Amino acid sequence: MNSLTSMLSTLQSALQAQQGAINVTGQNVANVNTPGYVKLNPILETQTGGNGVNLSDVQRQYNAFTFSQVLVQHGQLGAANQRSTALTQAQSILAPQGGGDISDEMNSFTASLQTLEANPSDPSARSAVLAQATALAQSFSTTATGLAQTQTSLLTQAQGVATKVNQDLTQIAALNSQISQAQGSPSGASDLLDQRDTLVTDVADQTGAQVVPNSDGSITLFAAGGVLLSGNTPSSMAVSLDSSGALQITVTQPGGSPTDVTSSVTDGALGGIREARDTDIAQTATQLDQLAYSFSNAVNTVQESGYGLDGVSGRPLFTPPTQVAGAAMNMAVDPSVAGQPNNIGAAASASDVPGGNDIAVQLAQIGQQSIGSGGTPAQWFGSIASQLGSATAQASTDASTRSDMVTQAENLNSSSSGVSLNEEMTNLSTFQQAFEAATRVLQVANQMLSDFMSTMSAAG
Amino acid sequence: MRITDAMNINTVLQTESQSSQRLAQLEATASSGVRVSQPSDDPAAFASIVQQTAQIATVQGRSSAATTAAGDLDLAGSTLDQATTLLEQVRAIAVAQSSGTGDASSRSNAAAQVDSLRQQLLALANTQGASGYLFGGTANGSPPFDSSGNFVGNSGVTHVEVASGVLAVSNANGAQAFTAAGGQDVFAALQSLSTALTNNDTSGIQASIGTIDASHDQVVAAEVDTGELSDRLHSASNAITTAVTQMQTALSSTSDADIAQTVTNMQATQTAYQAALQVNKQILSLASSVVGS
Repeated sequence: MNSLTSMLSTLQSALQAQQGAINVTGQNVANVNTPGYVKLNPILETQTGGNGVNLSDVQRQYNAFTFSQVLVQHGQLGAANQRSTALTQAQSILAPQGGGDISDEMNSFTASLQTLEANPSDPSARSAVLAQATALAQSFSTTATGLAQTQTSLLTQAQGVATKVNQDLTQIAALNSQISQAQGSPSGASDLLDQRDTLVTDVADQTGAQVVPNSDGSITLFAAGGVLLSGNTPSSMAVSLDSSGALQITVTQPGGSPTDVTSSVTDGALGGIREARDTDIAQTATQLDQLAYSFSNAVNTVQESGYGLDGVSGRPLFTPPTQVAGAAMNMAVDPSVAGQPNNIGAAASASDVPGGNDIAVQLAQIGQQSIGSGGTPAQWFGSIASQLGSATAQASTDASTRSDMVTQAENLNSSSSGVSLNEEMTNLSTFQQAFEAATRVLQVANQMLSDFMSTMSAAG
Repeated sequence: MRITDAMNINTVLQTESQSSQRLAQLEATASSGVRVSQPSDDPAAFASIVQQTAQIATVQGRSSAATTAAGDLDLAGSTLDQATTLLEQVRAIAVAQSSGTGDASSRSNAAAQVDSLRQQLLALANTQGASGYLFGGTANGSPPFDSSGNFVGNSGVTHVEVASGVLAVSNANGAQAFTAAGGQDVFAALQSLSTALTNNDTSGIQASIGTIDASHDQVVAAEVDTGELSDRLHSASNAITTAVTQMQTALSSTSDADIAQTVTNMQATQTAYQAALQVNKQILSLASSVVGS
């Protein structure tokens, strides 16, 4: 008798265990498309004393190594993507695809001087020189302003990234404490772990991240050269500008004072923004200032030696720049000639007015002369544009390579911890068949029991 | 390796996005015909394009400046040619009146003729071109000769650049053509002939023939000089036109796309894209057939 009833309880455990396993399969299938979902494995164990089977645990098929690779690649992709986007924008400001960049304006300026050279007393030739000088100055100024605006919007973006990181850190901290509480209950924390992994991946996208698990199930998150989060105490990140106008990124631990981590931020969107803003675009802006400074001075030196139609000399064409910084943004036609085409000095002496054109010839020659370290104005601008272009091309290639590598890392991670429907379908049939078989055995046991009962009552 | 459904989908998305990106790039190149439209397309080529474009713009500017200047020089040349004709007429009058047959009344008429021719010559010397008075030097904003034939211009020279660092003179020299700077003051010569004719001064008239001849030769020499200056500008302009064609060919080879190659590449990419789509469709349908079974 003892063995018949124990058989019933054995079968009950089998039905429960297979049903539980089918539940786990159902959970896996349901989450086949959920980002960050880690496949669950039902762990079946023989019940002690040979009394059937037990669904002892539901394990997450988590692979710390492949996941850390995903984080690394996400960090680098975030940086490459941001840099590529920012530089593409900067490039379109410096050298618009439809033309009309600084070099085009320089060519028009030179052409107007050549017309003046052929006809130095012609009022329309003089007006054209002034108009082209104004257009050239504006071109320098709008390009420099455009680059500065890009830098401003990158600052706003960087601050947005810091806000996002802070939110993520707060959530991860909350999850950390929930997870350490739920530790021990089988499968209880798997959804929390999935959520935390998704948030950590997001932080990796923003700043790059590395994760070290702690014994209580919580994690310590390293990013930007330091600990951003330990257990349930998140640090907070802030972005501001330093005295030179570059991004300054600080991390404040709870109760501590802000630590400058700027130089350690190389990964994630923040790293990409920083490199594009403070290295690539800053360099282009400085080079543009140098070009504007040298060009203005070269033109002014010649122009000041020229005599206007009124026989007066010493007037610059462009407002003389006081320093290299800001020379491009502040470039403008000097008030002493603005609106007064007759004041342009084309003649080399007062007695050569109005027909003398020596100075006009010299002005027109500037376009083909070396005006400083960068060579001729066209060479100089070409090299500025080409440097930014190289950086842009490199960033864009980098972004597509990184995108491949993220796919690869995610595939590897998915391979070890993702859901495969093939596998789940096979498991489903396996568990279903076991469930059916157990039901069969139960029927038999039931039959045996009722046979026995009827025999017993007949005998009684 | 264990293959999960997410991997299949990742691979499908990745290959499709790569193919479509490449296709979009080739389409842009094929439709614009330009290989380098922004610095990142080919940074080194972009720098070279900027330089070549500036070079072409500069030489084209030189060409148009030379053509404009040559226009005024040509006008100066034909003006000087008319001046020589006038001077030949004056010489004929002087020769006719220098013999004994001339009397006071015919010489007085001749004097009026010479005065009129002198006025015509004065008008020629005060001819205006596109850039101002042709013979005023750099003081070309007002008539270089006053009504009595005194020169109020200067001998200032203007230049245009015809090749890098090479300057060509771009104005006629009025002082050399008409004033004592060239050896003979033409208007003074005509004035003294007119005076001699009015005074019925035969020896004065005979003496004038020499100065008129000198004036004539001087104007002819100026015409030749002007013609040479103009020729130099014209030939510089022609040379530039030839050079520009070569430079534009060079620029085009740097910046333009090889259309045939681009289109071929595009077709190849399209085929690859279609194949990828086909394969991807099968991969995805495999996944669904697993569920169906």
